[in-house]
Amino acid sequence: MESHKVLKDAGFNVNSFGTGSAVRLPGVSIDKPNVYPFGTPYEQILQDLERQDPKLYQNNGLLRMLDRNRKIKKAPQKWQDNSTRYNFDFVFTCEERCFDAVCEDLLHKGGNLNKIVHIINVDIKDDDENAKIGARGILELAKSFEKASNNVNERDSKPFEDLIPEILSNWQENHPNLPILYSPAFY
Amino acid sequence: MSAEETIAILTQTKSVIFDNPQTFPEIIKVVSNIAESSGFLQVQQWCSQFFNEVFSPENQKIPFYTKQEAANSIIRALINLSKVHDVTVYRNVVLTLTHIYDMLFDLVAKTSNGVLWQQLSDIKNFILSNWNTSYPLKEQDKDSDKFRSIGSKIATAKFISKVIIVQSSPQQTPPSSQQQQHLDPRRRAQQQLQQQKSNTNEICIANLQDNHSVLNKINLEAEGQGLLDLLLNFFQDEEFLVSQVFIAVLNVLVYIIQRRRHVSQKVYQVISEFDYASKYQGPNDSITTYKLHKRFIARATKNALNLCIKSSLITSSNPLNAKFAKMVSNIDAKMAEHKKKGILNIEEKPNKKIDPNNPFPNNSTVIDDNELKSLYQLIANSNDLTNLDASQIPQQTLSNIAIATLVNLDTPKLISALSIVSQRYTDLTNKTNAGIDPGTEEVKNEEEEQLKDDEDNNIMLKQENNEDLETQPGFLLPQPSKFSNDDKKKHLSFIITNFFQLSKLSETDETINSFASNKEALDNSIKISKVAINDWKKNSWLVLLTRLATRGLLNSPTKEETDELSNNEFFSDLIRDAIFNYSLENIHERIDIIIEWLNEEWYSEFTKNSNDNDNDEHVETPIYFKWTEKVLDSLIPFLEANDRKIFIRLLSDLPVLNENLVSKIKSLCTDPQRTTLGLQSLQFLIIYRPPVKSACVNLLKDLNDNYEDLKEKVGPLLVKYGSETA
Repeated sequence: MESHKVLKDAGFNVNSFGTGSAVRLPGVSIDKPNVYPFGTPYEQILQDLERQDPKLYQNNGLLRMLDRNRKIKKAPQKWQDNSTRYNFDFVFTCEERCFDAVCEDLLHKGGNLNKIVHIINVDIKDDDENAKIGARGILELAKSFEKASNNVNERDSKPFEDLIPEILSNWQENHPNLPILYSPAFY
Repeated sequence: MSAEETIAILTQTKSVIFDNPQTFPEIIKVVSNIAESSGFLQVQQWCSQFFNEVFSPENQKIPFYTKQEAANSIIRALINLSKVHDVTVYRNVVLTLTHIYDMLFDLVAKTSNGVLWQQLSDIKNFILSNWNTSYPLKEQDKDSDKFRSIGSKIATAKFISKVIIVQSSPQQTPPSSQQQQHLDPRRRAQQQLQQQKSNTNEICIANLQDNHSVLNKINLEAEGQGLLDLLLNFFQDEEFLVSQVFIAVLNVLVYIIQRRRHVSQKVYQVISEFDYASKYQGPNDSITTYKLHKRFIARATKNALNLCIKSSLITSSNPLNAKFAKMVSNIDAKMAEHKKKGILNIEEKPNKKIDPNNPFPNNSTVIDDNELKSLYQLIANSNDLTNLDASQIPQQTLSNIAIATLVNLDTPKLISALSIVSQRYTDLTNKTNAGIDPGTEEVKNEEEEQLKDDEDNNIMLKQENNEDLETQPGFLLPQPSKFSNDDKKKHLSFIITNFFQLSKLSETDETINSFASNKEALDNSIKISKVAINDWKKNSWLVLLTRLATRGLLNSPTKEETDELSNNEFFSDLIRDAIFNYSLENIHERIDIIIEWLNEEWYSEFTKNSNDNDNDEHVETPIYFKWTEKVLDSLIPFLEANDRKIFIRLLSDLPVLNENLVSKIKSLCTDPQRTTLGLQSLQFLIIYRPPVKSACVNLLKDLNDNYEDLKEKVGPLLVKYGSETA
């Protein structure tokens, strides 16, 4: 969601999704996570956690995160249920698990829309500080792709798909601790 | 009509379709006519994008039969557009054809329209003939062309998969009726039953009559199988690791086996034998890019296999099951290693292709620049040797190396090397000659030159005796060819890079000392006062660069036309962009640079736009506001709660602020972690920058009215400052 916010603030048309079966948030103990179905409004989740143990969730930053999220969108959405409704030019995932889920889902759906999409994973550890660093990295990539695709009106300019490996490679050299993944795919 | 005007009309027309789908066939015809007749690239791109969008299966507003009928009328336009040498247009054409191939196949099957089928076959064959070439880009060299026009290759892979699906049956095709006569009648009945089951709504060859007058079922089926082999052979035949194309082909094969299970074993066999690690590194790929290509393909293979296993396409009884399980676990192990060591630290040997007949990686016979190095360089650009400065090696050692090399040299190799260099030289000479203005004299050889000089001298002597010299046209040097915009861009980027290199030098550096000695010489000859730089200081490079952006280029003496002016603005923006990016890389240490640059922007623009006689006039400074807005937009999302010092410093030192700029602080105030920073900034502006006080108070009011959780903090501020302006 941090990346959603940063990309949105930078003016990109963006949406965010989860790839798991439900929204899982830390609970009072490691074996008791808070589980909500996709579509549950952030507002409702926030109220639920406040009711459970406001101090605990305030201290672990969960309430702050939910407060941020509810200002960005109403409720978390599931990728698999929405992937053919919203089709984007790029999909950024923040965990290799999610990258695999997105690739497999698009393979499973058969590519019937014949639309090319580029999927990129930037592996981000799930904490506040790393989310910020990762979001900055994703924004950088998004801007490079935007720049590369803006030259389509010039004859003989290099098409942007040809530039993707070079952009990813340069980015990887600048961010050696965020191993990148990429796959072209079809909606 | 200009390209922009045509596009404006087309865009307006397009919106009608969505409001009124009945107009669809008519509008398609209009756009097709324009696509066929317009020579503007932008219009062609627009039309191709339009076709891709409206014929996409995603567009459910138009009924199937309307789309099918309309698809018939765009074929000629698509054929025309496919000849345009532009990847965007070509990619859209291929994808549009992928959308409509089954529709048109069905239409021909029902109407036996031979002309339409011929047109469809022509464009299909054209696209297939361009598979794995650099088309629509012009060919360069065979190897690097594999890495060009990637978008077209990905789209073509998808198109081929569509043709394969349409031109094959969901189940193993039963033999034709003639063949069936030879079958056991009990098997024939069983097969007919199977075929009936497979006759679903899907448009494919299974529903076609054996004796169709236009569509030859056996040939089409054979073509489909041939195309499947084309995709499968790609894994074996392609020598280079072009991950994007390999992944696209892998993906479309998974789509094919989901629809045509009977070919799956053939596909699995190829995947199980796919040895991507042995593929060559691209001629221009760095070792990091090569590593990434490998990583991407490995992951895609794993995902494709996992999907097939999860959806029971590969079952445990499959003979390749164990092999695939091992492949997946090997890939997982590799990925874990990448994570642990870091992809850049993984050892990887370069794997460049060496042609036995031409052992030089860089054997291009044309060069892009006029550099001596490019003329002679036969090693790849990515080779570390290109960074070796041979002038640092003692002369004695160099001559020893040269002698030893010449003694051991293979003569044919030397000849082929020299022939490459000589071809480059010839090409370069031809280009230079072509570039010379035909009106200027061309020097041919020394003898001719000598003769001509003598003649000229004689003429001049005669003229001197007879006429006044001033009335005669003197000797004119040939005019240098004018810099093209690309040249200007290139040289300007050199200049910018040099300036940023200067920023890294210490004040005592030799380069800077040479500036100091030049300055002494200047001091002795002419006295210069009131200049920006008298001594080279740490930030002098910035002064020069900002002045170049804000004044140097704008006052260029070549500004003859508005075009030239907008070009200059474009070049200034290149510099601004460079300063902008450089500053944002490390905002904590480079905030001074931003302040100095934006002040310079404002001052120059203010002076340029102000009227000397009118002291009270309001002077517009749009460029300053544009860039300040850009800086704030990029800076604010990354400010931390403890960045108060630099942010307030920036707000206090910017020459002018307006309501729009102040409104940028809103996102800070609404972010719970940075609310304090936002409110402190507003308080600062209210107290120290009265011209924007009302804008700040308005923002506070907005926050107070619309953000419930901010009321507690904003309320007291409004009480304190709000009433004063009211």
